Amino acid sequence: MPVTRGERSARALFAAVLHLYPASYRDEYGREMTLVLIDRLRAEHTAVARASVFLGAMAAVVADGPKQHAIVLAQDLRLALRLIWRERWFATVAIGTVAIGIGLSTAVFSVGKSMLVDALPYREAERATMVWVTNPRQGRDRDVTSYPRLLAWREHSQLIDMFASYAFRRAVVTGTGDPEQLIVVRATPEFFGVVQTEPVAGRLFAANEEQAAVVVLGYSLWQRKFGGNASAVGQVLRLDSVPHTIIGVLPQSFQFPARDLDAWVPLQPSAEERSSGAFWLETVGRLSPGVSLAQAQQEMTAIAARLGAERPNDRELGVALVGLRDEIARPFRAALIMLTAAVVGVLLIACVNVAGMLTARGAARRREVAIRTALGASRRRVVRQLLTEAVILFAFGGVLGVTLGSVLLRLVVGVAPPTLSWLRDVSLDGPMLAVALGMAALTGVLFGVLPSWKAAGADVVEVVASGVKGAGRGGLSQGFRRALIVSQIAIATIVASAASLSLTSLVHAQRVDLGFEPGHVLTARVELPRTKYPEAAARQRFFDRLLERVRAVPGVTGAAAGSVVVGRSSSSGFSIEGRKETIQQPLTFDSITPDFFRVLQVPLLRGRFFSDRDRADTQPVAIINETTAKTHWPNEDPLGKRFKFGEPDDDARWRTVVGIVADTRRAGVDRPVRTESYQPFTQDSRSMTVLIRTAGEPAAIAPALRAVVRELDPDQPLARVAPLEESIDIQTAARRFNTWLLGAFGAAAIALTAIGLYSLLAYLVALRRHEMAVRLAIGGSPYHVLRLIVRHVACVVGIGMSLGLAGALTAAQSMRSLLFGIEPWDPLSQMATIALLGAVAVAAAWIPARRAMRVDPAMVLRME
Amino acid sequence: MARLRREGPEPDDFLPLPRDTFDVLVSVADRDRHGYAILQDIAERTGGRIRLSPSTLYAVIKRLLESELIEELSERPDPAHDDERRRYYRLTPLGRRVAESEAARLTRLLADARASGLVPRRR
Repeated sequence: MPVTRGERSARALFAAVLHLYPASYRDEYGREMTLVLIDRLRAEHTAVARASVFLGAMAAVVADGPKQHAIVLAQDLRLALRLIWRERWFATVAIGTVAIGIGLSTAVFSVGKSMLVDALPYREAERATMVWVTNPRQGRDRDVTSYPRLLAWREHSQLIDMFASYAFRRAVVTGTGDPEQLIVVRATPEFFGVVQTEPVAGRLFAANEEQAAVVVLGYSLWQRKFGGNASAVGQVLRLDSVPHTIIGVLPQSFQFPARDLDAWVPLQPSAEERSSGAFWLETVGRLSPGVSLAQAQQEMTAIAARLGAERPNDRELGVALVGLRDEIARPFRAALIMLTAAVVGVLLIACVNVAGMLTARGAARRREVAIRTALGASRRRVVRQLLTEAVILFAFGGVLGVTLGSVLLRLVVGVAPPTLSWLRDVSLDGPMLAVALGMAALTGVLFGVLPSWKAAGADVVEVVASGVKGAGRGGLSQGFRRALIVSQIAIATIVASAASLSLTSLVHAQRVDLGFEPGHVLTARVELPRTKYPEAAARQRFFDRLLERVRAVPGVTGAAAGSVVVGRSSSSGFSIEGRKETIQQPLTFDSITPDFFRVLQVPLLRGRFFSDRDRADTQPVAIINETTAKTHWPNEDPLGKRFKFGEPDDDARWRTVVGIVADTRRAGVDRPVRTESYQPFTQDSRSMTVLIRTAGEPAAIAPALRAVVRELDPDQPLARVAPLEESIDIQTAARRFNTWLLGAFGAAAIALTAIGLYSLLAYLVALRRHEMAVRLAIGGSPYHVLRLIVRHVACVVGIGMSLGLAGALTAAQSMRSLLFGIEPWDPLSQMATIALLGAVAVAAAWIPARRAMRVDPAMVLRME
Repeated sequence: MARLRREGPEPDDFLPLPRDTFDVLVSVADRDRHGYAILQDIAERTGGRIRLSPSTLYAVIKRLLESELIEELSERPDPAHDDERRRYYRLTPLGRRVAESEAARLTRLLADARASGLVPRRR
């Protein structure tokens, strides 16, 4: 019967709809269905009937297509699960590898991201920039500024809309519950215009509020003092006895310029502060709309040059703009880069591992695939089956990975130092999870399916005839697998080496000689409000009486006070009598009571300690540390020499060096020793940290100390009451945290590599059973076989480690700032890495090697 | 779908049969037919009330082939109407037993219905 035009269109349309079926189904029945349809159409006599039959047939295909897909999928799933169960060891290792890769990387990335990105809940934060003064002569790239300089910037800059400056101060709050010592930010009224946020209650500073006695509460102070009640707005808060009206409350997420701040008050510069050239203000600016940081930087550099021309003393001062995000991330950057690199490394190893395993398996299954294709399964059908298997493996791995990630995240948060307490709120990062899952899935598809796709197109006779031996040639080559394992070992070496360097640094940092004895010492900070204790004499009297009464407490063997015990001391450039040049290298100056060094047990090298005879009206004196003596008086005796802070012709008084003490690591256990000086408290009275040496547990003295302070002044709070050892511990907390994380990565990297190496060797041994059987059959010794394997392992591991070590040394250069007491090429750390990886390689090779040596030639050859 | 046991499936495992499935089995019970012939046969037997669409027909055929109730022929049984491209289907011994069991089941059902007066007497 001739084919009509209508039939031809019907055929074409129906053929198109048939694409709703799985390809295999369409190939099998599509043509038959079309024939049946045409027959039915021909049987009808009217156009309406034909149309009705045709549309009915089309609709039925639309309804049936998805059903057939579901049937095929169910079959694939069943078969896949059966095959996975048959190879449960393979599946367990593959799933575990994927889970470790996904879990580790997602957990750590989430922590990193919350530090870097999520810490900026400010509106248009990308327009906010820190404005630092650079002072190359003093080696400072981020210095504060003076009030006159701030005014000059405001006057000259076109590209920065708004400048806000701020400074920190401590203040005692009284009248609302127990007296408490707060950290308060004094900020110019523009502050909240630059770092924009929405108050949770009330309002923020108004433009004209420079002189007003108002305060904006931080979230935690609001919770602490007012139970989070909105009626706090309008109430009065007494800061250092001065009443301030509460105008608003900041959200919990607001943590600028630092974390754990209590209150923000308008900055009211005193007449002295207004005119003083002293640098004391941190500044943040808001770029005009559409202005880039680089443009603003150019303008500010020009302004700095102009100011330098007007004031020759400021000739060398420049300006550095640092975006707010970079500024906040800065302290963590080195550690984070290191960790992120480690994460990527581990994820790569995991993927490479799975790739290797799938490749080996694909090769082993080459025969099966070729036979199935020859028996009539379409290539697409076979690949679909393999794809289903890969997807199931990775779905299991993914689910397990997410679970592992959440557990790890909790663990990480658990070991995080108290300074990172806000990590509590971190949750797994969605996009990173997607990337990790995507990477794993891509690996699965690439390496799980492609080799079989090739196999499905191969000549079945050749594949089957080549037997097991031929499996090695299937899919991706052995050379490729070897390259995979080499790269894996290289990455593991880099990660393990970083972990090892970090651990060695930590050990060094914890073993470092502090130069003082922190055990059995209790410290507590006492800030005397200037409003209540304006006179130096009153402050001295307070501390004299405090120390005297504390010494009388049973169990106390000594008591002293110092402006800073551990941490950052104030410092300044200084001049030595008789020398023209001012020394720019900053010298610290701390105020101490006479017993300070005795309580800390710092040895006196020469001269004397301070005594009661050093008073405000006697000759100004100073004690310096050994480093200062060696640096600034290298060939002479500093005792009796005089120096002063600032320029030689400043009106500060000359101080005479009366003692030299041994160096200490007060600035930080893993920081270099600074050039330090000390002055008697009587000649420089400031807020102090009290130091109490005890016979027993230092914390046990705390209640007695509180009672003494209450007796002297019921409104005076004590802050940071803690054993000195705890404060020192906190200094290494971040380092311990990093080391812990890197260590976890190192362990994961090594474990994954061991698995990868083992599976490669097991596979190679399986491939070469025939060869080994022949060797043994013709009288070869099992040790010959062993030598074969050892040579292989040595080659792969040798190349991998060499590449890895080269990479590790490069990586170590970039983690230099995280190292302490060692160089990046620290032989001990690197040797430890090599030894560990070597041992792991031997362990991984052991089982396959034993299996190879025990090959029974008769059995193997019979099977062939 | 039929569950395969190690010793081979029993006819009862397939019961009750869906209507379309039973119709197709009946169609190929007396002779081997190709797809369109099966459709025509069903339409004739049911007075045109049941006209399967091609997709429904082949979904049934696929299921029957997989459960080995019918098989595809390699030779052409009807040279007069031979068409190189047509596939012919034949009832397998298992298929025949399944169809017989289903017919017996339906007969019993009908007898039960009759006994309880649900089926009108023939005039």
